[in-house]
Amino acid sequence: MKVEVDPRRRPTIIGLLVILAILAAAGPFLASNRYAIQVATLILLFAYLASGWNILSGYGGQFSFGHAAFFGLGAYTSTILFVKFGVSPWVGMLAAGLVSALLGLFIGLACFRSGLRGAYFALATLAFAEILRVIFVNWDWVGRSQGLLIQLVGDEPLLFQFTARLPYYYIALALLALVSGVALLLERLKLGYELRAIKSNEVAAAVLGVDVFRAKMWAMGLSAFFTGIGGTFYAQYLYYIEPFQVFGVGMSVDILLPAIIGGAGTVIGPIIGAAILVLLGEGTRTFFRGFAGADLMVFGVILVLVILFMPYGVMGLLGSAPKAKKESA
Amino acid sequence: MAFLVVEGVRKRFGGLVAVDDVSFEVAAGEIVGLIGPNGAGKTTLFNLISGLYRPDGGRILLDGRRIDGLPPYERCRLGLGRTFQIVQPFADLTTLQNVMLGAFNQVRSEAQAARIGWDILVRVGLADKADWPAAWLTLGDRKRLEVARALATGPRLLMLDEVMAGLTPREVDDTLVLLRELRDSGITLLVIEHVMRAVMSLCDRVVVLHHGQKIADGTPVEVASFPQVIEAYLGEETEIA
Amino acid sequence: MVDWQTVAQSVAGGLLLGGVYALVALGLNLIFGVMKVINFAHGTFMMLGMYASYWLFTLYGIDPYPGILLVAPLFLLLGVLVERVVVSRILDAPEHDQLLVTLGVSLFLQNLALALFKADPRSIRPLYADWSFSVGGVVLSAPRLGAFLAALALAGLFFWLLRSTDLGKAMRAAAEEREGAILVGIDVRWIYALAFGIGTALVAVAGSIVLPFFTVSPSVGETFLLTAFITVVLGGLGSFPGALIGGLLIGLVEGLGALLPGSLRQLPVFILFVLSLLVRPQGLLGSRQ
Repeated sequence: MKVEVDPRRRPTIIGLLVILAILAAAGPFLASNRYAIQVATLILLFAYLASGWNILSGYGGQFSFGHAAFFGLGAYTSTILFVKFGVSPWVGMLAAGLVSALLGLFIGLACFRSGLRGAYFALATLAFAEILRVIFVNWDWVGRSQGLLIQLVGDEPLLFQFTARLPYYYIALALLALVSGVALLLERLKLGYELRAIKSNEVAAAVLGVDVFRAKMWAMGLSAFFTGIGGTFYAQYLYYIEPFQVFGVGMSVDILLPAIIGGAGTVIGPIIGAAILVLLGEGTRTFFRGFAGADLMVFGVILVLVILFMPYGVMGLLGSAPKAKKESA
Repeated sequence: MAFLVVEGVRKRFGGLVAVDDVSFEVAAGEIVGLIGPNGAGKTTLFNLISGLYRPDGGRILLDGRRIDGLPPYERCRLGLGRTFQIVQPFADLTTLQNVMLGAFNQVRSEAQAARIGWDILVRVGLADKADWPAAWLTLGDRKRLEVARALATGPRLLMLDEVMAGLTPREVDDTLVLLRELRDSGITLLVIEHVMRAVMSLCDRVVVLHHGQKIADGTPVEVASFPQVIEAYLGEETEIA
Repeated sequence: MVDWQTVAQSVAGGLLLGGVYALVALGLNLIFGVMKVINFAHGTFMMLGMYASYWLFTLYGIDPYPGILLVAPLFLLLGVLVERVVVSRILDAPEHDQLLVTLGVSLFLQNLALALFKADPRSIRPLYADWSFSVGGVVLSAPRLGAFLAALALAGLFFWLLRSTDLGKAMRAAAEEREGAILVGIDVRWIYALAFGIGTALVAVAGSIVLPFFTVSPSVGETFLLTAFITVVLGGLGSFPGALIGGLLIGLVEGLGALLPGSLRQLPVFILFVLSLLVRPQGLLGSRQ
């Protein structure tokens, strides 16, 4: 008699497909309102970024507070390639992913080999993001603290530029679908099992035959790769990047919060979390106009409340995480 | 050559010598018990054999091959399985998935791991809870899951750390049956145990540790009558492990 | 070519600040040692301590040093409050949850400071701002020297507390063996609250003594947290003497870095950090597992 390996799997796939279908269909309607489609695109971007973060931190349990390092490096890589060498940002996007992945592997080597875990690992990633920020702020060639401007060339799909907002929406949606697909796949692969075991109990995993270092490095590389690509999208969407914005702690926090709020280690969690946080952020900024930092204050409170009362995020509330035993079971 | 050879192993933590020049052997197919009062160094010895600690001196050989320099996962690949005293299933995974993690030590695909995992769950009697989140299991079931997980790695030597602690007498009997079946299927067992009747009836030989040193090594009956062993258990103040 | 005088000057100044870094790292180590929690809000409390001293000086003319008598108890209370309300609930939670909760507290407090005090950097000019002492040809500024001496005194006080008082012994007991401590009748909940409170007070006072020569802004806490963390990594996780040596070493390297232009001066410390991770991950005084 056979049994399902994980009963949560089918609902997750269905749920994801439904969400993606709705988002795809909603595009043209959102496009009629410039503000609406910009907010929606932002939600998609952060859902994507949070999902990328999720691979290392949600599934693998290695919480990174410095993903801005990969984001910023990706943004700068493709922008430099385009602005200085005329390379199409599509190619640059791939390069951004690879360069960020390399950085991830380096950071992984430095941290995982020395057994840095938990809070120490998180702080180390924060330090690396800071290092990059300091480097880029002092680097003449990339504009120091002024950053880099991408020249507006009008509608040039091959150069990743569109005058309308809708194409960006669909590109972000495609990226989100891609990374969600990767997450779904990961749950079935040996690596996915190893990561979740490591998150729970690294020592037990090691004794059961898991090469913990290798698994963490894979997670780091994949996570950094996707995050770097997100940086390229951001650069091409806003036409302007500067070190404080793309390497800052704020960006690292913006990347991880949706996954935590929505449910780390789930496929749908980051999407829900991104929707909640972006909308909340917009709402707070409008409501507390002139009150700098009000939105982050709200985020801080929400983060504390979520961890205290629903540590598995929204997905946890929906029963997608093990909590109290069901009566009927 | 014996299957497991522990030779002159030493481990100290700061000023405390936890394991002091311990040597013993386990032959293939044997069930050997490792006993001693709390704080004797049994779990430390397990940690040394399984690779969580590096010994300060001595050698450890598995099937003739030196393993004391290898990381834990490599020792597992060579056939060393080990459970922990404080059982902790992987809470994010189902019962079956927990066991599958162990099975991945032998196979690559999810389907293959699921097959192995399922068979083992049937064997230990947890098949009806296979798709439960592992966090829902009772203590007794978690102990069985712990054994199942280690079993799934395909061990030739299985080290069990107090697998009977906290079980009802009925559960202890069931576990004894399981362990004898494991031995009959070709797995060598090294068990840390406090439940004395289990040790007496199960083990071919018993190694006794006290203050990090081996004070006795023989059949359960022999060892039970050693004056040093009796004194170690009776004359000891309770220490917090 | 830079002359030796300037280098010695920079190094001395850096070493003096290093004493403060050591103090900050000590607070972090205390909280971690007793409760096994890394307090992400540690740097934020230091920033708030700086602001407290700033307002005491600007509004009431109270110098930061005597101001310690007000700042320390205030932040002891604040630390205990945060611990009881938030941190105590996640003591048994998985480490990543502890991490996120203290991050949330840090986000809230830092942006509260931003909302209340705005982002403009502020500084004070106390009486002794321009005083200096010449020691062996090297000129040491009074504020820095004062901070160093105060940090030393506080570290000494801290060690005395830990070694010789009942509270200190209780803390060490709770740190090493929680179950045993409970069995012996120690109310670990209050030990934890006090440890958090003392750690917070220590770092807030560090902020006070640094204010005479450091500008304060809401983001300054991040910088100090990072430095404290690097100090702890360098000196060895959980090692109190390591925190001292690490702090001085960081101060030294920063002092050398100050000879570099612009914000490049921060780089040598970061490079030291990365090297430390790669070459000697357990830190100078830490031990390999």
